[in-house]
Amino acid sequence: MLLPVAGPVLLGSVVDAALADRPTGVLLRGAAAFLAVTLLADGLQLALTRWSVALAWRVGNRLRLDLARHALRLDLTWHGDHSPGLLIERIDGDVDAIVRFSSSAVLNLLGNAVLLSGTLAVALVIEWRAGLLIAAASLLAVEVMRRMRRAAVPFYDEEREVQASLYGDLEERLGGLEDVRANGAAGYAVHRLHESSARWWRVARRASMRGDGAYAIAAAVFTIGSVATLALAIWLQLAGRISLGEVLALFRFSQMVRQPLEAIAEQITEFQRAVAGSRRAARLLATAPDIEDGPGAHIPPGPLSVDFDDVHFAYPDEPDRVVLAGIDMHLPAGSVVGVVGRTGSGKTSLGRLLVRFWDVTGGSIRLGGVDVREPTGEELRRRVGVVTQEVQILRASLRDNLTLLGAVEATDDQLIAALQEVGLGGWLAAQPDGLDTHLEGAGALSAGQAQLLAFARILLTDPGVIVLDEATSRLDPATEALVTRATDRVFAGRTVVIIAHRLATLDRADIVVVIDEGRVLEAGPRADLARRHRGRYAALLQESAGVGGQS
Amino acid sequence: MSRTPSSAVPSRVVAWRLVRQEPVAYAIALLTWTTFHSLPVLSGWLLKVVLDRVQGGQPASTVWTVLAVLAGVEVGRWMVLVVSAVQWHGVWVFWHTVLRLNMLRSLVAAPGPAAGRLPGAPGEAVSRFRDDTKHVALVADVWLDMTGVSVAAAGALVVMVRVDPIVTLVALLPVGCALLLTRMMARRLKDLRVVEREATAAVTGFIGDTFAAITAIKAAGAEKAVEHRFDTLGRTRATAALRDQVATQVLQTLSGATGNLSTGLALLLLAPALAAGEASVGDVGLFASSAIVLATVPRWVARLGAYHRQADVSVDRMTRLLPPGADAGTLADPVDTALRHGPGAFPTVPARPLRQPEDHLDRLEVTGLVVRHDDGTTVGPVDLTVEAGRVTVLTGPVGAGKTTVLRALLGLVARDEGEIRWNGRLIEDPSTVLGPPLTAYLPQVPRLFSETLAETILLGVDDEGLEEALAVACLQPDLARMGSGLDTMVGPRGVRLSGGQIQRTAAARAFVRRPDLLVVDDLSSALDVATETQVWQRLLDRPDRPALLVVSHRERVLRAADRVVEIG
Repeated sequence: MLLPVAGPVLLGSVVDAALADRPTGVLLRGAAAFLAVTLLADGLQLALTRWSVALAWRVGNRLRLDLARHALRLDLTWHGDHSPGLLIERIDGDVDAIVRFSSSAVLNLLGNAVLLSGTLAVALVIEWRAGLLIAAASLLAVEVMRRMRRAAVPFYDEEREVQASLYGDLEERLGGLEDVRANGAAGYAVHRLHESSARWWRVARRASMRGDGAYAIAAAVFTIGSVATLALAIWLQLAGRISLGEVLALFRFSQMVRQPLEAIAEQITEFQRAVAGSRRAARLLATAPDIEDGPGAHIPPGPLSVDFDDVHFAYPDEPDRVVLAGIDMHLPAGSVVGVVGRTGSGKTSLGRLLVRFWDVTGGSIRLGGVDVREPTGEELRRRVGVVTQEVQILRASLRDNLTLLGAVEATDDQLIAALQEVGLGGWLAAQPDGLDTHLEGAGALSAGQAQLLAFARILLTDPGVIVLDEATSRLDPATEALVTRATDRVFAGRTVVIIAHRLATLDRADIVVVIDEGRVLEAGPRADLARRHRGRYAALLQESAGVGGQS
Repeated sequence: MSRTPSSAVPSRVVAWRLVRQEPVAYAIALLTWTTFHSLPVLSGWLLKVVLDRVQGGQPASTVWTVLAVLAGVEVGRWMVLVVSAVQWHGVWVFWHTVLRLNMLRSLVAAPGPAAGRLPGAPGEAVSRFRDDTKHVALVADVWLDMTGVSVAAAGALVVMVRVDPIVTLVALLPVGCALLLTRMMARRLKDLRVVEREATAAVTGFIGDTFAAITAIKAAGAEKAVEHRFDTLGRTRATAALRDQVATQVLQTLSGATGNLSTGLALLLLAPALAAGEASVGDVGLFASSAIVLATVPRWVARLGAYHRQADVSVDRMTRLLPPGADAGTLADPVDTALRHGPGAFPTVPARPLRQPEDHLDRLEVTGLVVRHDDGTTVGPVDLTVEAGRVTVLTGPVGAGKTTVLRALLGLVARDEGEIRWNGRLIEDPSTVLGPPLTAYLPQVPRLFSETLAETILLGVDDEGLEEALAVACLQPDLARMGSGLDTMVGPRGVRLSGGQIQRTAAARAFVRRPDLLVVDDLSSALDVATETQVWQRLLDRPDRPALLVVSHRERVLRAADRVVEIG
């Protein structure tokens, strides 16, 4: 990295040698040396770049992975506030800024720091006063830049925030394109893009004023230092203390110290973005998940009893709205339990608490006698299977969708058997690529097929408890019959909690629990409740018959 | 997906159309950047004047004067930079905005179904709006620099030739070689860039997909598997990026080496002349500073080519978002962005479109509707009729294509056969006609947007009839329970609401548009019996109720039906 320093020295000495009428051979050797030295320097620079870029990608990818891992573990409340589009910016965009900076600017900083000190040392040897002046001007410029740069960071921060929300909004509108079109909301979507672009225009110009302003002022300070060095060198030459070649060398040096500065400054935007990016990355990593992994108690094998003891619950972001207000519910291992209640009665929260998407705010929930806060999250979710109304389909192969990217270990034969058992055997046979069939997200399957796929997932993970949250509500009677056949196999040897608003889906339930306003209104064997005079379940049954349930 | 690179529009056409939209702003940017790039030539010449005077033993006072001018020129250059940069940022945002608005407009409003035009993951679609627009903007931008650098290089050449034409010619040799090498490397660079872009899109797409399905991943405890997949994708991308970046760096180094080679060669030739007194020290200084200016030319030429090729790929990718056969040039269609006036100063959302009296639904007839899926399965042929104020129910087993029929009717997917007649009038492209105020659609899995409840229901229309829509959708008790009522934030895709609330919010969104025909895909699926009954009752009891086309297998709905169409 010190090689470039030799350039001006050789340049100056050739000039001086020429002026002193030295033989041509000496001159040519000097000029050739100048050439050789600069080329060697370039080669080294290239090798160094390759190494630093590789390092930056390794570090960057590790940071991306850390961020993704952390975000995956944050709870659903947090995810409710952070759209996937925003997370792309957080996990990739911010790290990208950091990586780009570290792969180019860090090298520049390091290399240029060495170059800077080397240049200054040689300048000091040629003429100490000129050397000091160059050093002073560099110091001043660096200090000016440092201060102004710090003032500019919040503006770059703001610019990235505005961009992140612009992309987040776009991601949503594009994901819901049909909803936008079918509701005549095209103008509205375009309008929103207009608005956020205008916001971007403002902050971009403001950030440029600060950032580029900082750079320009520092560069101007530097330039003045450089011209002052030239003036000093000329004054010294006129006084006869240094040669003309040395004047040229000193001036080249004073400019060469600027090159590192320019190189740093060329990266300044990247640097500021990197700082802003790493701040947000640090903030993300510092966000603690509300749910801490349990110490690692083991849940017994086989079907599990489920006990809710005086369970109270409110969502963390709305602590005042009580969702569950003292639920007591004791479900024997292997039973099939139907939980009914109106929308918003809190029945969905019951299922989510079982897998610890959230923690209870009072009381406790036990599975097979073990508090759900005791086992690790991994063990808990292996032992509790959840099928929700909206089955999330990944844009990946059928195999990846069944095993959730390999989270479930199963052979192809097991996968095929599971699909056949839930009644998707015929559909699978029609897929030319079999298990390698690529599913293009949620649209790849009908709602009914998606439900059956979720059942196949359950068969593969073999949990002790399954929660069916409105699972069959979207199915037409024919498919539901298919699912019912599948349930024989799915329910066997498991405790089943069916959360339902359609009473017809409760035909299989041994026990029925009626929930309202976060409390258990009624609970008992289904047949008893159905016969109970003025009972709530009995009333619901009648209501349902009036609307016309399934025949 | 069909790709036709042969008919592809080059990015320069798109970039040029962008530039022409704000010619004055572009001219200002051109002027300021050219000044910024050219001032070093002036500085180099002033330096020569200083050195020559010192060597010639001229009075010190004249030397100081020239030095003062030199300092002024240098400081002035940096002030020019600030002005250029701030002004340029405005233009930069403008270019992006025009492209983005045209793409979004096309996706949400252009004729024909948009579903097939979007890449699979919304995350990947976002990269069209984020990265591909940037690549085209970079083309318009690199023209600015290229112009500035060319003017500066021409100036430097003139100054050098005046000093010594032969030495100038020799000093130009390395620059020529660098240009040649750069051209030779161009093709390889482009290939590397394409691989890198694809690897990057795979990573961003995966992040988007994963977090969109976060509930399923958490419920299955699949976090580790996701990490593993993410890690693999990241490694592939790192390899591609490393190749790409190193190749770029080789080009950069080439440019630096060029400058030094030129200086060295000039020195070789000038040294004897210097000794003979035929050249001055100022000449050596001048050649050294001019070589630096000239050496930037190959680098910018390389960038010029690379940016164009990169943007060609981007234009191709962006064009795929447009309707089939659309001209890529429309990406840069004039848009009144009014950016400088700040948020709130834009062309506002159009008011509710007016409906002509003769458009009021009397009778909608669909005959012989057929949709063929890519996998070879076929839906239809389906015939159905809906009359004003009447209920038509569509039933059939799972997978029969009930949803597909509704979507084809509304133009959300392309139909392969069949006629749609609205009051007897043939509708060729329903996607541009069958929307509010004529029809509204309540999909089976509605998507809400991350904003307030009121905003996600209205989506830009005025709140006339909002209360009524809330009442029909039975949302009022829920609203009372929510702390902020209609101002409650629903979260991305409405995750802060329950499944039933999402469904009813989407119902309110459809009702508030007061359509003549309401198309409902299984309204009841997420609602409990009592709420469902209420919604149906309130809807059916309205004297001015819209015609209903409903997918349902519920007896209650079937009883209210005037027509039942069974498919499959």
